[in-house]
Amino acid sequence: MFRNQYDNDVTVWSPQGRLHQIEYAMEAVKQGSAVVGMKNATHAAIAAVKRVPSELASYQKKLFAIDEHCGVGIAGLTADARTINNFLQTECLNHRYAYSRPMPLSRLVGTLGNKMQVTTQEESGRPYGVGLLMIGFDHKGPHLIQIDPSANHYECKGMSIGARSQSARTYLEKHLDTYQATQTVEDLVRHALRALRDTLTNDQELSSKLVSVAVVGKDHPFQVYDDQLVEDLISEVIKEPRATVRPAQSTFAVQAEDLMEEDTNRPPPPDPEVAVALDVAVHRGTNP
Amino acid sequence: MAHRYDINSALLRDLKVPLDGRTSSSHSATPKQHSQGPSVSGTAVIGVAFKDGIVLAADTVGSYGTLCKIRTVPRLLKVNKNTVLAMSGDYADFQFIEQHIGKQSIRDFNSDDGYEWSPKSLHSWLTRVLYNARSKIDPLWNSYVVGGYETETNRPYLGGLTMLGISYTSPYVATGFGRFIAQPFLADQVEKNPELDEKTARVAAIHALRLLYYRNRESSNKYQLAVVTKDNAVVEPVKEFETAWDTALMIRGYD
Repeated sequence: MFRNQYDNDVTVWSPQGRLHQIEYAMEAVKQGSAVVGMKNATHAAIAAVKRVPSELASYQKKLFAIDEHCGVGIAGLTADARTINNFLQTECLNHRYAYSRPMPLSRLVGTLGNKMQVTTQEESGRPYGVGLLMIGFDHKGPHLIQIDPSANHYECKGMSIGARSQSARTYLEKHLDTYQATQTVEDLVRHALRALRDTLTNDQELSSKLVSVAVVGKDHPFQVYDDQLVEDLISEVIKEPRATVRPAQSTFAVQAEDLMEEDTNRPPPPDPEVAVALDVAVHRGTNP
Repeated sequence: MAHRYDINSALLRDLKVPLDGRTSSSHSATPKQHSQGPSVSGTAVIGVAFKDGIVLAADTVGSYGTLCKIRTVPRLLKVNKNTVLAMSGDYADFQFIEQHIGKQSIRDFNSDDGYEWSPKSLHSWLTRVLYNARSKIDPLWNSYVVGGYETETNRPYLGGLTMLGISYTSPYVATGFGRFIAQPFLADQVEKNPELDEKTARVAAIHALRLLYYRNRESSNKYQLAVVTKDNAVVEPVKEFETAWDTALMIRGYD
């Protein structure tokens, strides 16, 4: 039932200094379909894989406009994301009302971080089960910000979250210089689609039904491109050869075998110790 | 005429207040009163935009009714290197606003994200605050002129604001009495020379104050100027302008 006895509520530390409920919330993000984001000197773009819960249902929306100058892509619990979106939209609207100018992304994310942090320290309730990639444009230029259920947020050059998103991160790391130097929105979105393509399984391929793209930048209000609007770019990208996807199962098997072999040559692992910082050095075992 | 503070009834009321200074709201001798007029107040302020900046002008009197209670009080506030504010009306209400602006400036500084007041955002925020207060039937008794350089648009910004929350932008602004005396003069100046330079704007602003001084007993010839150009805002030290009264005798009713 439980992985261990330290995960009953979010306020209890494990002896290893971990908060398991928060880590489980971070796992919820990985259950959601992938979102990738990146930026160049003038624009930021996000692309997401949409899922369809059944043949008779429409695709789950993944990208949401917050204000003219920013929007988010979500992975995890959609219902939680809607609460967060509502909060973000209200904040942006209030800021515009008071100051007649858009809210800077740093301030927006700061207030969201404060709101989310509370859920990681209260025993009633739970952390939000959703990760966000926020893009926006303000007085500091384009932004891409990753926000976790742990209430951490990171300013990124390129990032991906959600299922199989490691493949997209590999692409984003490899092509960092290339997409940062892109001069047009189209080139930036092409890179987003290529990165997103790497998160798909072998039996899937990019299609306008499956993919949502959103862009924001200088003199370019946040806009989601769905369906026909991304069709042309997708048709270009899918003509390119796919990154070699190793069959997942065999790779895992090889790694497992390697580990097994190595393990036989190693001394047995040490007993687990309680990870609590002590002010006196404790010596155990063979240490004199 | 504004409601005057009645010292005798105030003393009588104070006697009924408990010694610890707390007033019981349900047994208060007098009901809570909203502002019904200013106490110490400043008169008209002037704003003139020129080709690549703006100039604000105000005299330095703090009046208590018709009494010149304070002769030298600053009515121009430098908010940052792009933004200045000129006040007229109740000085205490201005100090309340000044504190809020200062607190927000400190929060902006602490955020360390390069985001701070701009003339447009200050003008907008003041409009909200004043309109909100008047909607509670407890107005802040001020008119403002907000000026500065808007970095977003790379243009000078000049706006006016009344105590009811009516706000507007214009190449020349005056508050209070200045709307009748100074504004027609400024309109004429700008019409003759739409692309004013800094020097002409300064002379026009000072002359607008002079016109007011001739006709308004609450004003004085001690004044301050604030000049904002790109990346530079200066509130200048107090000076005095010259006046000539020799034509006054020609005015009917002067003596």
